[in-house]
Amino acid sequence: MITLRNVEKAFSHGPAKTYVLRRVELDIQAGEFVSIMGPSGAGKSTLLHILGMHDPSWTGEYYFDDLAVHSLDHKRRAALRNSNIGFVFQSYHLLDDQTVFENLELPLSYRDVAKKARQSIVCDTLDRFQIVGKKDLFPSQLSGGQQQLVGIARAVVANPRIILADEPTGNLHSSQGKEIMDMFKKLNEEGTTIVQVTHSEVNAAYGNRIVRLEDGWVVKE
Amino acid sequence: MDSLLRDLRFSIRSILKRPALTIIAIVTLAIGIGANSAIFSLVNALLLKPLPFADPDRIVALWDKVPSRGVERNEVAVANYLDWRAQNKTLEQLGIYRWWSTNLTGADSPERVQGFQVTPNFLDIVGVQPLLGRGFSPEEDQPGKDAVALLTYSLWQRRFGADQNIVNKTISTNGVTRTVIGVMPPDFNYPKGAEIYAPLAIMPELARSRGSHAYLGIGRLKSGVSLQGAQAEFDTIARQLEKQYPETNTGRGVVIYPILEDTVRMYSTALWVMMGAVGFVLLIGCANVANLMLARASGRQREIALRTALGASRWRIVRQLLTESVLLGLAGGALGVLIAYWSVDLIRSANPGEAARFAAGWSHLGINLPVLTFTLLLSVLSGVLFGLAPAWQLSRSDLNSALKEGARQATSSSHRLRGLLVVSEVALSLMLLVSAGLLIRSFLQLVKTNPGFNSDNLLTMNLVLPAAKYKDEPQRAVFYSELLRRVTELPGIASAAAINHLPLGGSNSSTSFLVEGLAEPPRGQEFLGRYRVCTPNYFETMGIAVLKGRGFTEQDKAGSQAVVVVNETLARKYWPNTDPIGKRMRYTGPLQENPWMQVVGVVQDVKHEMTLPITEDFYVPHAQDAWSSMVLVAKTKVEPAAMAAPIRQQVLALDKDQPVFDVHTMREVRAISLALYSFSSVMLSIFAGVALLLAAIGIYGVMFYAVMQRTQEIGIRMALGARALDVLKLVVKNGMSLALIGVVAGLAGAYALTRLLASLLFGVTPTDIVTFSTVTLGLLLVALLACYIPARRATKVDPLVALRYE
Repeated sequence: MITLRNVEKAFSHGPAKTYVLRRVELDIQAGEFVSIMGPSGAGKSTLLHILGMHDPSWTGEYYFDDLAVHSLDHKRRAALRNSNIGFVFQSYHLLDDQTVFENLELPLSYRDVAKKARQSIVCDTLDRFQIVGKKDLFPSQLSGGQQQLVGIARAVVANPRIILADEPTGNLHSSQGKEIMDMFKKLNEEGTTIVQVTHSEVNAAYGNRIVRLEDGWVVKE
Repeated sequence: MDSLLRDLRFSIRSILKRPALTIIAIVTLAIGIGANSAIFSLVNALLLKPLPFADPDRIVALWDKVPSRGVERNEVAVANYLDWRAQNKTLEQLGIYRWWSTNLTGADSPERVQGFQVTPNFLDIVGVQPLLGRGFSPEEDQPGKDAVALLTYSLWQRRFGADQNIVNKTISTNGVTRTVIGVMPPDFNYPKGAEIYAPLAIMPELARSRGSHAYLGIGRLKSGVSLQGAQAEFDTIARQLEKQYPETNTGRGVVIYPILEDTVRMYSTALWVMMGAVGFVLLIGCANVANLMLARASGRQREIALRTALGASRWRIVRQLLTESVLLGLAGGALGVLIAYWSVDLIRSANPGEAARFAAGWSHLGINLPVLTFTLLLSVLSGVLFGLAPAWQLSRSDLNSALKEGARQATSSSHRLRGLLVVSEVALSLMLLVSAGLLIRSFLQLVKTNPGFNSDNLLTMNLVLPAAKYKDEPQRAVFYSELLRRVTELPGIASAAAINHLPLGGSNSSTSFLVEGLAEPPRGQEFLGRYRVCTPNYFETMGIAVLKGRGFTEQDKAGSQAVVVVNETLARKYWPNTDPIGKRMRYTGPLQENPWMQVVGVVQDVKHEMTLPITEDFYVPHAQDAWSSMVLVAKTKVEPAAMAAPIRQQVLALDKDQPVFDVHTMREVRAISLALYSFSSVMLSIFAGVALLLAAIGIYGVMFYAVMQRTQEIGIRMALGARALDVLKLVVKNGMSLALIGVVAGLAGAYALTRLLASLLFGVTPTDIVTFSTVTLGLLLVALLACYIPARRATKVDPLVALRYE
């Protein structure tokens, strides 16, 4: 599904260069649950955002379903991302002034889904995540775990083939974290590919593969 | 006191710490305050204190009125005045006066000076005494005892070199020798334009006249008498006179106005509209600065929270913040004074409509103590106004969260407040723009209106032949005929003629007449027409088309068949389906004195005042009614102003004591006649332009700030799939919804407000749909642009950067 070849990312400081990622070679198959681990500053989140096509400034080759992402323009990358990838953030990043329902509706509206269809998909998702009772609440009225649940629901609402999660339980206590990881596991079992960045060996154990990064190098798979 | 000083010290430090914001705030306020001070200096000089009277509230103007004809202000007849004076008990003094321009001759070149003939009690009424010499004594209104004159200070300085011994010296006016009895104080020149005063001698026949309405009434109310009380008494007197003299007084009444209102009526609406407009500009400016302060306030929450934590009361916080804003206001005011000073200089040099000559109080125009006081008050008020919202906002911020979150988040009530300010700015701008739009359209209509003559290459100048020298009509006719012959022969002149009242020249005379074959109309419904006296060649010189028959020729002279030329409106009204040529009309009165005049021509309608509808006009030849006061018009082959000197030489060659005055090209005459409209529309356009700019900056500022505040949110949206267009739409929609609310409020406001402009509009209704829609569209486009720039910036948000809070 995803193939990275010799992917590098660096920041220039005059003539000097600081590498964040070095010669990354990575293959992710459809249906995998991959955990990216490593110390702070190893390049985990950077790698995730390159996979998520948010970061356009890197070198190397990136194939998504054999499509050469590195040679796509900004517009096509955005289209490819919108139809295949969902995102979950450590700080949930729900929009404060929108209800749970509206937060879930947002990705669909950016994919030009008609209003009726949007409402029906959001209702199904609310049902699936058992948060129907929360649909009219604002994020500030939810606990951290509930907010992250909505964050995951928002990531899957557009039916992505792969979910990229950046330390999804980083702000949660352990019981809430477990609930969220169970949800990822369930989604994975239903066929969604998951790539998570995590510091937690326990959370990594939910996946079937761990990629370790150090100073931008993939040191171990 | 100590804490106030500390507040001041801290405020200065705080203001200096943010120089960019401080400069923007001060400049914005300076524009608003400066414009207000400049217009206030006009209002103060021309509307509030234009009259140099001791007790202006008790001084009133009295006019004759004819409600059935819609005439609200008509000059007074002497016999009526004498009756009013004898019968009233509410006025301490009552007098009359009239325009009296006179040729001042003597050692220097002859000069036309503007004067007034006044009843001897005139100075008692206005409560002013001469600087030198004495005022008029009661018996000086008797014929034979009236050969005295009072000079204004400016004439005394200019013409007589401030001669301290001028009193009892003699001068020659219109060939009559008069003794100077006094000089008026420096600031006294009422009625505006006056340079010399002479007593009004009431001849016995004048004392009996109720038909000749040529005098202006002025009176002083008795102490404790109200205007309404005096009006009621004069209504009763007028009704009695109606019964007593039905021939002349049927339908006539008296109307009394406060002298101030009466004096400034021509331009008071325009000036108050301008004052309102600059008020709007300042409000918009204050809203902008308040927005800046609110933006800054969100960065000061931590500081204020700390102060509160250290024990500062809410009032103390508000006082500290208001001190800062008032200081900014004062700095804006100081710069505003400079702007006002410069603006007043510009207005003074523009001298719209020869205001320096005719607007009472114009000489007081300037940045004086009342204007500086006004500016100071306005600066403090502005400071409080724009400082109040941020102060209120900051003083109520939540101590706990502010200390925890630091300066990162603005509250939603701050957003609402900023939104409300933008809505107000848009609404105020729209009202101002619509008003300016209406005035501009009105002015364009006036400029586009064909006056019925051709202004190109026309030079005009006034002459008044003194009665003492040119005693009878033939003498006057010969003078003008010879002058025109000489002028026509000048190289550079195509043709020349003269008329008693120049179109757009501001003077006028009407008279009632009878039409042969039509029954004499009942009293109060007489046929009225504007009465013009002109020489041959007048129509050709002015480019007024002769539609039927002919214009006047040299054969239309005294003693030959009395002839008249009518305009097409008069012809259409009285001879609707027949050829008017050969028909006859005559002035109302005994046939022996007013014989029938034969219509020999029909000419194109001419506008005598651009803003008034065409009326019935008729022209008689100068040779058959030789007026002394005429306006010479010359069609030139060269630049018209260049012919002024040669023509003046011809006048002096004919009579070395004969001055010419008011020398203008016809284009200038037209411009002067439209000055109030052009001045109002230019001024209001400038203010509306500034308002639009400030509102655009306001919207831009709010949207820019909103984008900054929402950077992370926009990043999240982009991470969730939002495209550039989605982000663009989000920001623009946000800003435009504020603009739209403002537009709706502004349209409602403009709909109510523009009615006040009605008297300044011509050919455009106060609710003109074209103006309303064009301005609305224009404002929305500007708002769109103001939103678009921050929106573009929002599309450049890098989601990675925005999400780096992770």
